[in-house]
Amino acid sequence: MTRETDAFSAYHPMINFTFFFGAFVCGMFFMHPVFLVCSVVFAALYYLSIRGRRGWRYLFGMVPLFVFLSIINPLFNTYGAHVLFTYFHGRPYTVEALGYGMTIAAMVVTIFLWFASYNAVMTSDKFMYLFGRFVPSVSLIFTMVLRLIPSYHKKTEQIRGARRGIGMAADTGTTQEKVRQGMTILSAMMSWALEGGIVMADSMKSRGYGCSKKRTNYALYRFAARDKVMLGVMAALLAVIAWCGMRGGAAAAYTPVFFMAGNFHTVIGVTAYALFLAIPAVINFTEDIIWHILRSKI
Amino acid sequence: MSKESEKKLKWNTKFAVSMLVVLFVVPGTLVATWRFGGTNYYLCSLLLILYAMVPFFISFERRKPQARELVTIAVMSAIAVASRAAFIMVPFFKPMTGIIMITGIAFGSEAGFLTGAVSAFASNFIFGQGPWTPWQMFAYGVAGFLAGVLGKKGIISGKERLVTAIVGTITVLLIVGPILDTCTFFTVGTGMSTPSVLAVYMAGLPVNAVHAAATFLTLFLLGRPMLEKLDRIKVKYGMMDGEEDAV
Repeated sequence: MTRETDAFSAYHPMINFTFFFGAFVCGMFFMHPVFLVCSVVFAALYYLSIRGRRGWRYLFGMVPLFVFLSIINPLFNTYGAHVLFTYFHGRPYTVEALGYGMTIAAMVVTIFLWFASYNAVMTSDKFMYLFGRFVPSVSLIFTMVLRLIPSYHKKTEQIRGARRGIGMAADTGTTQEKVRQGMTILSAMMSWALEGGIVMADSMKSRGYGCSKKRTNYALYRFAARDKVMLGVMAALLAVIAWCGMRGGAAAAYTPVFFMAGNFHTVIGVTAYALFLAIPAVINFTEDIIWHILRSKI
Repeated sequence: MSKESEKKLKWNTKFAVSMLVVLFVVPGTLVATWRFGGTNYYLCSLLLILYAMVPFFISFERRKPQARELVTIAVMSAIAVASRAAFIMVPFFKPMTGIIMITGIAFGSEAGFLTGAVSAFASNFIFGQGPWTPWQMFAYGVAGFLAGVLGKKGIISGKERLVTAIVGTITVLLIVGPILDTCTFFTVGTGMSTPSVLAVYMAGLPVNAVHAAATFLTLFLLGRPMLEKLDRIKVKYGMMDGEEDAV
């Protein structure tokens, strides 16, 4: 569950989405070690600011993934100047390939962490609010699906219970019997669902679905002044990052020889990148501090 | 404008747009990725997958589908996602692909694609979105689309349940599974080399085998009764008849 005070979530959905979009794309593009450290640190920081103490478990779960992906790369990639050791009669395991593996692993961990936060912030209603207008019918289908899934889960349980009542419990017997039982339950659930669907469609029609030219919708989001400011800040930072990236500030190569850029553009680029990624975490921590101060005044 | 020429015009626009995409947008993406992205296979392939999916959604929206069509696709997608609940007692058994393919057979390739894509998207809102979301949408969409095409040709149907089940198994093993593995490869892949590609696809094989077995069983055991039910609904309520249904 998200904590109730995730202040970044309270911003306009467009701000939420722009941030994550920028974080994903940059996270997948930049292979420069300093950029990567930035993205891992801020992704973890924001995730912790949402989940609180429970977030540590997920973070620790990322460590084995990181190690695994790092050490596996040199097995497939033998380029590199510094050989660590050889195996299988002389197949080299190189430092450079290990470094590249760590880079890839860091990217994967970053993306996973951003997605973990994304799933908490970008709820389905926000996503539909942003993109539903482009595909009104598909987004209506999608909204219905999200509402139907829990109701079908409930129906499945009812059918299962009814069958247990007549001595056809599904949880004992061989796998073959269980599969057959499951098929019967699913089949019954489907008949039920389809009949319900007909009623739903007729009801929609009788209340005038498809009659008006343009469907209206209601959502409780306001593009407030702070959203405008935030959008401007994000756009400016992303532009700086893109400019520095184009100028080679984020260039890095691992195999055969390790190389990473370290010029004026790198410094500017990393600064802008860190500022951009820090936005949601900073918003959350500021909110925490303000709340703390306000409460201490009472 | 007569209906015939209107149809022709629409077809021409569609053709022009797809030509534009094939001739300019796709090569443009490839060149841009090669030039600026280096080895960023993930972003490049993501864009290509989105190009492949967008036409389905656009043509569906432009048709202004009726309430019954929307509800049918929604109900089938929700069943596909919720179907896992009926098999709680059997680990790893996921009938989702089978149900998507049944939808494709019953209601055609477009409905099949949409059911697949929407099911994948919706189930990811429950289990968590990730870099795999577009791939899953595409993979399951293609499974539904293919079932629709083959069903229309009469190759697979409720009566030919063994053939249908085998076609479903092959679809999972050769199309759905490999697309999902490709996503894994692009997400965690550490560069293109024959052994690394092989390793990822080999690692995916057991998962795909279980998935294929579940699809086989779903289509074999459930294909006929489900298609009979859907046909009955179609006859009884005139569902998914397209234009005739529009009042």
